[in-house]
Amino acid sequence: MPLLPDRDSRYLEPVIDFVILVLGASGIVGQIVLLREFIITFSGNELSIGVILANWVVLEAIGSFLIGRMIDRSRFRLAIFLILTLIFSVGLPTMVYLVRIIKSLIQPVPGVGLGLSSIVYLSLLLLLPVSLIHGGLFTVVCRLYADRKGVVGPAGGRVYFLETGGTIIGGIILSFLLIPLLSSFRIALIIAIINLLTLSLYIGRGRIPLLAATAVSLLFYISPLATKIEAISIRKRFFNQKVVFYRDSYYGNVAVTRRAEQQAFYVNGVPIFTSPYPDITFVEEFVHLPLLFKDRIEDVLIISGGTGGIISELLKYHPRKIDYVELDPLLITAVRDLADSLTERELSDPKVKIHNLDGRLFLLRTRDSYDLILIGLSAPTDLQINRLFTDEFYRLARYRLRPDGIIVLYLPGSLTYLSRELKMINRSIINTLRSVFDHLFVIPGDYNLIVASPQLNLSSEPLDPLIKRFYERPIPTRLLTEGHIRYRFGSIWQDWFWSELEGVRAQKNLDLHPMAMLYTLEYWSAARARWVENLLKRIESVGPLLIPITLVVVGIIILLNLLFGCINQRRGIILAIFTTGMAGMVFQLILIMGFQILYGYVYFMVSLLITAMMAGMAIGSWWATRLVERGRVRRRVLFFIDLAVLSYPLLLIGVILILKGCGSGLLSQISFLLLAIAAGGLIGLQFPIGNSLLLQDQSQIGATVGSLYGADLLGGWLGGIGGSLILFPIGGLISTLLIVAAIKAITVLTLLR
Amino acid sequence: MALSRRDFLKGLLGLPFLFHLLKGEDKMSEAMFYRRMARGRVQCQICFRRCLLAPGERSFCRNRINYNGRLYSLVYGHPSAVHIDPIEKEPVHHMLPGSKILCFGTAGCNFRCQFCQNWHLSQRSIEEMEVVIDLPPEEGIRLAQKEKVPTLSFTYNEPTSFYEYVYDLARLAKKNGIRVIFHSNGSMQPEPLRALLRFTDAVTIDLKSFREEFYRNVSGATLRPVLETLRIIREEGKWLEIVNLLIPGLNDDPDDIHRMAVWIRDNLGDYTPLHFSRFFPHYRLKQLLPTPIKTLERAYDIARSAGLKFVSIGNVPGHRYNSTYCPVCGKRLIYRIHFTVIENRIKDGRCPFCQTEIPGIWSP
Repeated sequence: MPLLPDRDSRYLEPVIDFVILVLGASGIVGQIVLLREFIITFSGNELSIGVILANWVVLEAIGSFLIGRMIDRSRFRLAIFLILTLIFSVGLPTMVYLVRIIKSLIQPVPGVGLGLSSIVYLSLLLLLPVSLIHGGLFTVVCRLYADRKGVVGPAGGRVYFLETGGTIIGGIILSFLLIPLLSSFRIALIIAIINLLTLSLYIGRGRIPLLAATAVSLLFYISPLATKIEAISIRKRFFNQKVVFYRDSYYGNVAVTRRAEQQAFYVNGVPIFTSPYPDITFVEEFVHLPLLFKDRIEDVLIISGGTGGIISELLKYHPRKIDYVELDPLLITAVRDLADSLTERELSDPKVKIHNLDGRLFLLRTRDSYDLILIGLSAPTDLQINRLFTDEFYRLARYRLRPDGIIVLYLPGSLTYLSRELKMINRSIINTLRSVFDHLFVIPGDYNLIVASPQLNLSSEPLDPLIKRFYERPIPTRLLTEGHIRYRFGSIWQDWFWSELEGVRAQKNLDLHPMAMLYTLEYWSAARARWVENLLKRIESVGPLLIPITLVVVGIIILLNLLFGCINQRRGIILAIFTTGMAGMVFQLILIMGFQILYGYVYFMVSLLITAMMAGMAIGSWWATRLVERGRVRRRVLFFIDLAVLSYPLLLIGVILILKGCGSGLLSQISFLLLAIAAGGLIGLQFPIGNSLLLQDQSQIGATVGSLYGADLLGGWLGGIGGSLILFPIGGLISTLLIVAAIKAITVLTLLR
Repeated sequence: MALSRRDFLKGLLGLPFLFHLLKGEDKMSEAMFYRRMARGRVQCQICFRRCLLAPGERSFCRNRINYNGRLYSLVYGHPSAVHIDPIEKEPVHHMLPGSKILCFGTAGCNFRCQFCQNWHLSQRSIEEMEVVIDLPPEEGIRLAQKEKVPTLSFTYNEPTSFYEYVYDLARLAKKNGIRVIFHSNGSMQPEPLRALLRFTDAVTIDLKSFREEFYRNVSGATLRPVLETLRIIREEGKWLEIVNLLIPGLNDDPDDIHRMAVWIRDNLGDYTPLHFSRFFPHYRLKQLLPTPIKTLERAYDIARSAGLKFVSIGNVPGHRYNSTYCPVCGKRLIYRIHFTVIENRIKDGRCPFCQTEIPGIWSP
């Protein structure tokens, strides 16, 4: 075997296992680190995250396919491994740097959000040296593993098992250790150093230069040069501003910049508030206009967005307490560290109690009731935020509101013209609120303020009681005048707004059917990518026909295959892996969503769910590899696994529906973990078995593993994009799972033949 | 003449809507100010772009189409937004303070500002509009009379892009004793501008920056015609106010602001009101911070020290410079909070304290 390590094979066996573990860990770390940086650069939402992940997976698939074909024919396998690892190691930190500065390089106007087309091509370009190479490395390592250990069939399975193990380890270390402590750039450098070190352990000849390269990287890491390069990249992100705070948390990036007297607080690259001068119109209208309906307030709950003006305005009412729920403690840390006249007052007031928790989880846990609940986040751009805009959430809020209490939220609007997207978002949320609250009032504006109450009559006709209340309160504001109140509550605007919404047919927003998220994505696309907006509208119009169309298409494919046998054995196996990859991604999405919906968002539990699924995959692939080694793999084994994957969505529907009515007991939460392990197990089982069935001889290892790994990844991509952006929002949870089952039916029937 | 495939398709796209309009011939309006050229082409003369259009082609503003060698406005009598607003919202500070205006806006614009607040309207064509109101000029005037609104305003999107409708409404308004204002990016060609100004009382112009580079990169336009427009409005003796939206890092350079203020003083007169407005992230310019108050106050100081008498700060409710002060005695003349006039002390166009004449339109 050419260029094989020339050291003791007993010594090398654990080393190659370690190489694969590092490969798995590097993949997940690289993916998450770059994704987080892209989100900041592109001010990402579900759509852009989907695109970036899709590009990652597609490039990995292409890399594994192309390099897989090349590696079988090559005599210089180790050299290829060496070169690819070096490219990956240098590429990752370089790309983190480039992602940060890319907008300053290509855009003449700073601060402009990129369109989706730019996001597609830029992320493809910047991911190229990392994900393409990483995909290729998987097949190269498979080949090296087979060469080293002299095994054929089980090689792919074993590498899959070890790589999955590496992914779990990498994911856990990254989430709980690296992200809170280090920046993405530093993490990328550490990954580069570890890869170089692992390579020098594995390589026989030429180890000295590699060790030297590792040492140089280490020196670079601790040198002021690395600090300077990183500072430049951050500065370029915030044009003409002095960056005074820049840190990452589990939930994202928090940055604070200073220009003149003003501090601007950014979350994931988007400015969320400024201090000491906030957006006065917004904070004063958001707080004071709805409170004209109330004589007094004692207990207030703010879910997100409280600091930066809103708490300050609320304190003018001298409430008994303000519970302020903010998911990311890092944002509060930044506000405290950089306190000024506005924020100091807000966070130091003894009436204000800060809870770093998911808002929905807080509502589930609290036993308090409130006079006012303020939702400080506008329209749902992703599934996480969507959970604060659903029928189920509003029911929870109603339960915690006093009978004459009010819930206040804001949605994008306009006092000029309501486009279709604006109408759909507003109509959907209003319909949802109306199904929960008996009373609802909208104050139209550039932000539509929506007020709802279980029992308090909300009407601006006549306006006099509201004006009277305004004069009776000695509350100083900078904006509110009688004229302004009359203008904002005027019947002209009421008539106009409701006539605009008349006849608009938008669906209610439900946890398991998040239509408002789709409408919000249409709105986002309208400003940045018209073609995406049109595409989403078409998808939306398909809505009710989703299941019938899928069933017809699946039926036609099955019929054609029965009549003409177009899917042969080899294609059938690849298709099974592809559809299982897709199903796996959808299962993961539904498990995380289902868990969040039922029990609230807990970062730790979401990580645990992903880890449980990965662990299931590792167990599955380990077991399958053992079956392969014992020569017990038959085609029907694959058939039964495929049948189990088909049945899994039906099981998941049943369990989620049962758990929905069971409360949040420990047993229910454990059920989710078991479901995640089971899903991972099924997916993990299939890859090594499919691999073994396809492998005829050792010369095809690279090509076979490349094709299967590519199919698995592409399936995952389709499941991720199609599931989160199309199926789930327009079809809902049950339809999504039924469609996955229907698609799996194709491969089950193919394998049966 | 052989049409290219692109032209043919473009024509086809425009035709269905055109035919829809043609159903009622009275609603169809041939454009004003254009030249007929060889081979059926036409050249629009309304704005600085002077779009040269082959048959079937649409203008840059999306609102005009060459149909059979003639130029037609697609939005004539078809506004998408008609509302009653306070005049302060324009902003116009020196005309009938506290009065109402009836505002009209359609689809389309001849600029491509990345920060447009009304992008749902301005960056769309009429076919993409969710609402298209059938409101001929006569009906528009009747609406103003019914609502007892003393002034019409053409705003929300660029009036240049619905010029013919603006012109006819303004002409009828004058006949009926209704005042007319418009809020523009200042890109109209001199001839149509002078024609429209005959029926106009006041104009608010967005002077987005004093740098050509800003106009090119951020608005997809050019500065020169805007300065020309400002001069013409002053020449024609119409009341003029200028808005400068200050965007951090993009157009808030103190030297530029100084040059702009000096230019306004020298070319338009030191009594020309200049409004500095606070920027908030909008449309595509979402990743930029709002303007610091100190930046606005510094711009105010620069403009005042350059000799401008009426400078204000907008989009900062409660700021003292949102009000109007006498340039001689410094007393507050119009106490304004955001769009609400709390108190107007101007008497017969003069400061009640020092009798200084305050230019503007103060009586209906």
